[in-house]
Amino acid sequence: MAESLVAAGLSFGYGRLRPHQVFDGLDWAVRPGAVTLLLGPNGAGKSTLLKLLCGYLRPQAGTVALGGRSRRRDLVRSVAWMPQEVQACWGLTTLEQLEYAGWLAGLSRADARVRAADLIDRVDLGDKRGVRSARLSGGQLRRLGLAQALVRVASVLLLDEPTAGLDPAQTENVRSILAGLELDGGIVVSTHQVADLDGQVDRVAVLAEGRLRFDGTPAELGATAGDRQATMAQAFAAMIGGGRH
Amino acid sequence: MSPLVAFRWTGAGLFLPVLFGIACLFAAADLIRIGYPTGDLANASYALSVAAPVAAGFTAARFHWFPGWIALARPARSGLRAVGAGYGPLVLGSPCAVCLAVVVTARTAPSDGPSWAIVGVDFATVLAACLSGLVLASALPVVMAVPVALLGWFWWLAYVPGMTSPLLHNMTSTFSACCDSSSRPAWHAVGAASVVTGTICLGVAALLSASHWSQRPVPVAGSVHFNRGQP
Repeated sequence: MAESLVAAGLSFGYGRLRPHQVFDGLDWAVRPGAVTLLLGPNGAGKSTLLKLLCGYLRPQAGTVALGGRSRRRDLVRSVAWMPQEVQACWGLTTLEQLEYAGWLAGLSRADARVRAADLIDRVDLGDKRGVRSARLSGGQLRRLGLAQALVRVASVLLLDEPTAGLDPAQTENVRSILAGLELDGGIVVSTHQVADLDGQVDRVAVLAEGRLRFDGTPAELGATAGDRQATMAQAFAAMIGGGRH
Repeated sequence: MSPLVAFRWTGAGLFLPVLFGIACLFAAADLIRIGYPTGDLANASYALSVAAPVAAGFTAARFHWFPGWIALARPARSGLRAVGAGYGPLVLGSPCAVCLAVVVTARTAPSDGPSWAIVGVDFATVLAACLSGLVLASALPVVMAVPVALLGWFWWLAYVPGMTSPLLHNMTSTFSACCDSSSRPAWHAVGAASVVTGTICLGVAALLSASHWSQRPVPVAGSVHFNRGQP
């Protein structure tokens, strides 16, 4: 049975001198097996939520649990995450960085090598395998970040703006990669390029002002705008008051 | 990551020959060999006062960006293994390079307990210097970590009264120059090196072995992202 990634009573804020509370008692569960699109205006806390769900940040209150296990070690092992800010590993080639990321994620050296060689072709960076990752362009670095997330053997995948800065061909490549993924625990994609994922998502969650404003299917989101045929972008814009997106 | 890749990645492939050269240069300065291995090795160990700070500063310079990267990578492996796989060749290679330079310059191999003790002190000192470079680079911005590592170790090796003696810091001697055959490694030199190295090793191990090592604020690696990001 698929394990569910659940956030319960999540509270988190940035800063100490002038604290800015992002969440205060947020509850949310990632639907197992589904592709969920996480939407929200700038500053709503989408990236912060993903960072909390994957164990990168520690909540100030509340828990994040996968299948009832809330230790950070379990989240790190079972939840893959592509951050918004993908960083090159200074001095390593693209392939070496991917292999190292796989080894860090718990794979043996041999397994990491095999998975890295496969993934680097899937994200269309095969011709860059010997190039220092620090020399990759922004779009290429994002694809490396996607490969780095996928190299982890995980049950849940969290992607933060996976198509930002990609050209149309690479966006299509990411779509096809996402379409081919089957993760028991589900996939969450946070993006502002809603059209990039048209027809690919099973669920939509809308985050605004630290609260979950909506959690349902794309059709249900359209219904909130009074038009079940409305695109996700239109319905989302209507929900958050238009113009703020 | 294979040791060979780590060797290249950390800059050890370029740095260790340079460190060896620097150590040889300073070991040879004012070296008068007397044929007593322990004394010759102790005298050549003068190189430490320059080589150890350089090793600490270089390690800090090469490590400063790593905590941020490793935090994003969210390692499932312990910090000790993650850092060891990447920086092992540099951290262990530096003391080896310096000890080799001391032995080569002194033109004598350690052959008995006292002479091995001198080489051991040298190894432990440079190892501690490199590890302290890792810690400083985790806790401070690179523009502060490198100078602190350089100056701190130079001060510790060259100016701390307990460490200085006519022979550097590591021999008992009644002469103003090194050494007679009755000289033995000074207890304070061996003790200080052991205490400093042991403390730093334990501190680094505890720091990197903590389950949240890549998540905590200063001085643990990765802390730069904690509480600083944008929602």
